[in-house]
Parts: sequence; structure tokens; C-alpha cells
Amino acid sequence: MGLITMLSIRNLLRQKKRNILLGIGIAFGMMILVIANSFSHGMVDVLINDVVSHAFGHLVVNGKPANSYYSTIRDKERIMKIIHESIPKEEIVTIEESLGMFGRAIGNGEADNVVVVGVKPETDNDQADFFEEFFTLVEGDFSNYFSKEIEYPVIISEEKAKSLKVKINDTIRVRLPMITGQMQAVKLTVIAIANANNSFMNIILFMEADRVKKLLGYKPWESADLQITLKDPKKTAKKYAEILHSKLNPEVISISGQVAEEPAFLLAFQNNSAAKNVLKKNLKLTQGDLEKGLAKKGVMVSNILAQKLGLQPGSKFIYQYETKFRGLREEKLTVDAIYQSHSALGQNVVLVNEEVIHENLNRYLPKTLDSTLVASSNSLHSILATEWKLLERSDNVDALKKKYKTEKKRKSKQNNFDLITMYEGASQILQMEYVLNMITGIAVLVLFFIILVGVINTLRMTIKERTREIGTVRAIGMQKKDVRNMFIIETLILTALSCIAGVVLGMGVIKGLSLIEFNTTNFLSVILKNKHLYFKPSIMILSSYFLFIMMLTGIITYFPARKAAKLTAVEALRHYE
Amino acid sequence: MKPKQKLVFGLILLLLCLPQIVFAAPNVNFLLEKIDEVTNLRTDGTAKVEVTQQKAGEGVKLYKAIYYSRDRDDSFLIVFTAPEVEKGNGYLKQGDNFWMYRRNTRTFQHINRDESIGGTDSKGEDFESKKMTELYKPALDQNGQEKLKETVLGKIPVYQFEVAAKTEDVSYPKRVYWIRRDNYLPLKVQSYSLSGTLMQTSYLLKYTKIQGKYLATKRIYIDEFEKGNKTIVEIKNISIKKIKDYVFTKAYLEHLSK
Repeated sequence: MGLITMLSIRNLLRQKKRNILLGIGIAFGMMILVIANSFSHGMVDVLINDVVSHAFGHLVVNGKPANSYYSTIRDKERIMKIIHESIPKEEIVTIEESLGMFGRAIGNGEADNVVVVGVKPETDNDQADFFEEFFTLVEGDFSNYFSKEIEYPVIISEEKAKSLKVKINDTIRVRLPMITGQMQAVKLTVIAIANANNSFMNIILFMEADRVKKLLGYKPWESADLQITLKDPKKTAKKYAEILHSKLNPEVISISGQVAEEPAFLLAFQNNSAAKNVLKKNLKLTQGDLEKGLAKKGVMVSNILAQKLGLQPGSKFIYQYETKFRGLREEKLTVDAIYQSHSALGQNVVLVNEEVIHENLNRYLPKTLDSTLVASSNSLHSILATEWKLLERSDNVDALKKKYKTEKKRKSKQNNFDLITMYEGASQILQMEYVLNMITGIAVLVLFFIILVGVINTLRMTIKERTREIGTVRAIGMQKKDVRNMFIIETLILTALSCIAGVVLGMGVIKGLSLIEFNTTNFLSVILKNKHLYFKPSIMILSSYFLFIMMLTGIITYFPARKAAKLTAVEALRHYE
Repeated sequence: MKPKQKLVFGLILLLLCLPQIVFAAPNVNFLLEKIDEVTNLRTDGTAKVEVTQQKAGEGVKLYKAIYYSRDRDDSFLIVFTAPEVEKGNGYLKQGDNFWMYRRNTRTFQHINRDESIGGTDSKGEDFESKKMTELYKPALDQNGQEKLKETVLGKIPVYQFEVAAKTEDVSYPKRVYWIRRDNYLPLKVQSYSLSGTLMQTSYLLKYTKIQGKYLATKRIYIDEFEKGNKTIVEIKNISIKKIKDYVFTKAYLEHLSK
């Protein structure tokens, strides 16, 4: 250790009372900083990883018929494939179906509102961890969650069990709407009373996902919203949303099927005036009424196909096509108009308004859509309807609301697909992070200011007291820079030791606060983890605060120390108070 | 076979078949068509509607509204006049468009037909005129026979039959009807969930005859799932005068709500 450093330490010990008081001030400031920072990080962690990821997902693929509450992705396998093509496997933590429905539950003489939610571990091996991660068991046995003997086993929170007056093995009757809008009523058996790690989930009745899916009326190949939990959502959610969005582009409706054993293609045109005007210009009618053919229920047939099948306007016929999941589908159609076969559309063609086909197309998905039938370079390609409407990405929650308002006005049976990141879907929750960071930032600034004032004040007093001493050491040969460094090192050692003490103290307080149990159910309970405050100290940020304080101290000490060092020996020795 | 023997054989055959010819109960599709026929009132109509909603533990709430309907284009307009909290709020349906109007904010909002009307248990779709034959088909027993029988409700001779939903677009996939044998008017309807749980029983207590068709003017809906909940709907001051086009507009709804 150098002589200057030793002198600095000795000087520190000479003014014990003053330095201890300043040290306590800095340590206290640092302690507050550690607590505030860890609390804000803990809260954000709970919000993003517990609330947002479970309730909203970091990235959500939403598919639903226009004007419907209930989300239904008709071909889960296809969308999952697109997701895996868009996001690297290592970036995905989980992909879960958002299976949940509000309902009315009746327990032992008491009724209450509930949400029935379907959850299951990714693999069978994850079962033990899954329950431990999510719940704190109060009573019962989690192993019955997957029991085949019980029709609908359910995990209920302590709070909900109390409100419904139910115990283990009791039955809860629940009424809830299915995705079709039909009413469903079932008896659920309480297999465990357990509190979820976040008390905002206390309203939820947890049930195995496949059972909930069946209860809500989903077919095995269908899916609710797909919630993707990402490894680093803050960095990647928006990026992968853009990639996924570009790959979710729908295909044109061009179904290969047959009419009375005659191969025929079914094409659908868009139900808007622009598309209809293009058709009016391009199609030559041979029989029937074009206006009727272009109407919402309009069906037109090419003259070649009409001739082969002997179809006339008003003729009823059945269009058959192979579906992906439900065998052969028969569409009963009535001819409104017959047009002269157009080279851009092909010869054996049934051309319908998209509204004729959308509803059934969603339920009876064709095995394949023959995209080669009408090439994208084709003049009429732009007027053909697509299998779904991919909604534009929204930048923020306001844009998302505006988009949905517009969509609500659209009267179509066409499915919508949308991609929502947590920044739009759970923006209000994420705003809490912003507020917390603001509060922490302000606290940091105030603390830095206090430290600054304390250090400057102490240093000025020290320099004043030791002016004659500076004269002595300068007279016996100490260089200017050594005098300056001695003061700087003295202050830096004091600051460093105080900061370390502050961190240790802060960690102790965090430990103590984490032990307090909060039995609250109000909105603030969402920031609790297992009924306790959750702190997550960030070593990176605390280190940066430490370095910043040291740097700040160094800078503010430098100038008075330099001033003191510049004194000549004679000047300094002449100083008298 | 001698002519006499032929006659006797013929008579026996006739006697055997007679009960089936004379006393044969109509099939369920026929009854559904009859219900549509006797209740399908296709006209303009204005009425005052009172909905008394009783919920277990919440007491009784009385909702009053003025209701305009035009079956020609499936339009209707509802304006609440009571309770105070709902007064001035309204709903307008024109074809596929369905709006909710809030008096406080003076705003119209597009809503879905399956959303609740003014906090009651009614939905927009309940006010749409739909044919029974389009929504339901006969339910069959294990032997493939229609679930239909003749019985009495109180002292009134009725047909009791079960129907199953044809489409997924109905709230209850299974229903049991009790309809009068003399004029085919439904008197009681039980609605079941997909799992077969009885969810609701409705009684159609009073009918009014308008232009040869019947309109149920007093109905009671009993919530069988949550016991103690009950809704009574009464339709009063019915007028079938032609309603002017401006009635089914946003401007008129806004004007009425003042």
C-alpha cells in the first residue's frame, strides 16, 4: 500500500465522528437505493413473468371470427408450424393455449363468479415442478389433477373455497358459455385447495387444459389464443411479432372439389365494391343477373361448367370438397348467374361471394388450398378473398383499441388473425414498470444530491482545518499532486466503505421485508409473490450505481483538493483561524 | 276370397288402422311449423316492456323500456325509461348493425348480438325474429323415435316434445316444449345445457292475438341453475301502426333518450 493511501486512511481515522456520520449518510442512501432498485426489479419480474406471461403472454396469436368474443384458431397444427418457423426454438419458453372462460359457480349454497382456466405442464416430467411453481397447497392432493376417475377435477384457491363454502371432494356446479355461445353446465370436483403464487389468480378455478378445451367446445384440432412466453420478452417480443406477422399471410380461397363428379374449383371474390367493379368489367354474363351474382349470397358458375352439368340460373347444386379434419363437405348452392369462362380464373369454376363460404370454410377447412390455380400475377388475383384477414400490427394500446373498434363494425364471417405483444395487450401493467423506474430514478437523483452536498461540505471543513498541515507537508517536500491525491483517496475510501455497508444493510432489510406475509386481495396483491414482497437485486445495476457514486465523489473532491494542493507552503502555514 | 269375406277383411283392416289415422299425434316438425305459423307476427310494432328481475341476494329490479320493431328488415329500437341508472340508454338494430347508446356519454357503440341488454339477462339475439324450424329439429330416443307425447299441463291438454339444436347459433342445444293441442301455442319451455343440465324453465302465461297471430305478453323465466333467480317480462300497450323510417335511426334514439 502506498504512502499516500496510508496517510489517507490515517487522516480518516483522525476525524472519526465526522467521517462516521458522513459514512452513515452515504450508507443509508445506498441502502435505500438497493431496496428501491431490488423492489422495482422484483415487481417488474412478477408483472412480466407471472402476471403478463400467464394472463396475456409475451406474444399472442389471436384468431377469431369477426364480431365474436371467443377466440378460435381452426387449424392449430398449421399455426404452430408457422410459429416454429418464425421464432428460434431456444427463444421460446412455452407456447400455451389461452383457455379460460368466465362463469357462475354454485358451491354449498353459495354462488360466486369464477374464471375456469385450463393449464397443464409441457411434459409429464414437469408435473411436480409445475404444481410447486404455481401453487401453495393448503389441503388436498395435486395428483388427482390428472385423474381419469374424476370427470372434472379442479384446484380452487382458499379464498374462493371460502366464498363457495366448499371443501375437498365437494362438488361445484358451474355455468359458462361455450365458444359457440351455447350454455354449458358441469359439475367440478374440488381435488385441492391451493393458493396460486399470485393472488390476482384467486378467482380462477384451475383445471387440466384438455378437459377445459372439451368443455368449451373446441375440437381437437382447434385452439384458443396461442400465448408464447419468450426467454427475453423485453428484447425480442416486438421483433418476433413482426417476423411472425409476415409469415401469417393468408392464402386466396381456391378450393379443389367437384360438382356431380365433375372436377370444379371454387373461388371466392371479396365482398367490396372495388372487387365487384373489377368483376363487372371483366366478366361477360351469358345468363342470369350479375347484380344478384355479386350480392352477399351470390353464386356464379362458368358457362363451361354450367353446360357440362346443365345448370341454369336458379338451379340448385352441391359442391363437394375434401376437408382437412371432417371428411367430405357438401356445400348446397344456387346459381344466380352464368358467366363466360375467363382465362384468368379457369374453366370449371364456381365463383361465390366470400360471405357465402367463410362461415363454413372456418368449420370445414379444405384439405388444401390450391394456390397455383390463380397466380398472384393474374389480373383477377387481387379481387379474390383470402381465408382469413390478417390485422395490421398495432404500435400501442390506443392503436390496438382503434383497430378493434373498426373491426367490430366489419360485418363479415371471415376469421381475423392478429398478433399482440405484451406492449399492446398488457400495456397498463407494463406502465407500472415505467412508473416504478421513474420513482427509483428520482430517489437515486435525490440520494446523489445528498451525498454530493455531504461530501463537499466535509471536504471543505477538512481542508480548512488542515491548511496549516498542508503547509507543513508541502514544506518538507510533499508534491502538489500527492496532496491532492491524499484528499481524493481519503474521500473515495470513505465512500466505498459506506456504499458497501449500505449494500449489506440493504440486503438485510430486504431479507426482513421478504419475511412479512400480506394477506391482502386488493389490486396491490398482484405485486406479491406467494403473499410476500418480492425483491430482485440486480448486481449489474447496483455495481453501476456504486461506480457512479465513486466517480461522482472523485470529481467533486478533485476541485477542492486541487485548490488545497495549489497552496504554497508559506501561504498555508500563515493560515490561521 | 268371396266378396263378403273381402268386406269383413277390409273392415277389420280399417278398424286396426283407424286409431292411427284418427288419433295419430302430429310429428315434431309439424308442431314446430305450427308454432312458427301461429306466432310469426310479421308487422311493425310498438310496445312498452317491463322486465322484473329477481336475483338471489340482490332483491328485485324493475326495468322499463319502449320497444319499436319492424320485422320487414329485422330492425328494432329499445329505449329504457327505468330504472334511473338505465334511463335514456338504448339499443338500435338495423339489419346486421347493432348499436348501444349511452345517455351519459352521448355515444354509440357497435356491440354484438350476444351481449346483454341493459344489465338484464336478455341479449340482442332474443329480440330477433327467428323461425323454430330453422333453429331446432326433433330429438330422437334410442329407438330413433321422436320424443313426443300427449299429456296435460295443469288441466290443459298439451303436446310435450323435445328438440335439439340444428345449428350452434343457439344458447340452449336442447329444449322441451309443452304446447297447447288446440292452437299450438307454447305454454312451457325447458332449456338444457349441452351436458343435459336443466338451465331455465320459461312459462308463457298470456297471449294477445294480433292480425291472426299470437304474441306472448307475459312470460316468466326461472333460472334453474341458480335457484332464486327469476325474470318476468310483460309487454303492454301494443300498437301495430306502421312505424316511420326515421324511428330506426341513431338521431331518433338520441332524441328519445333526452
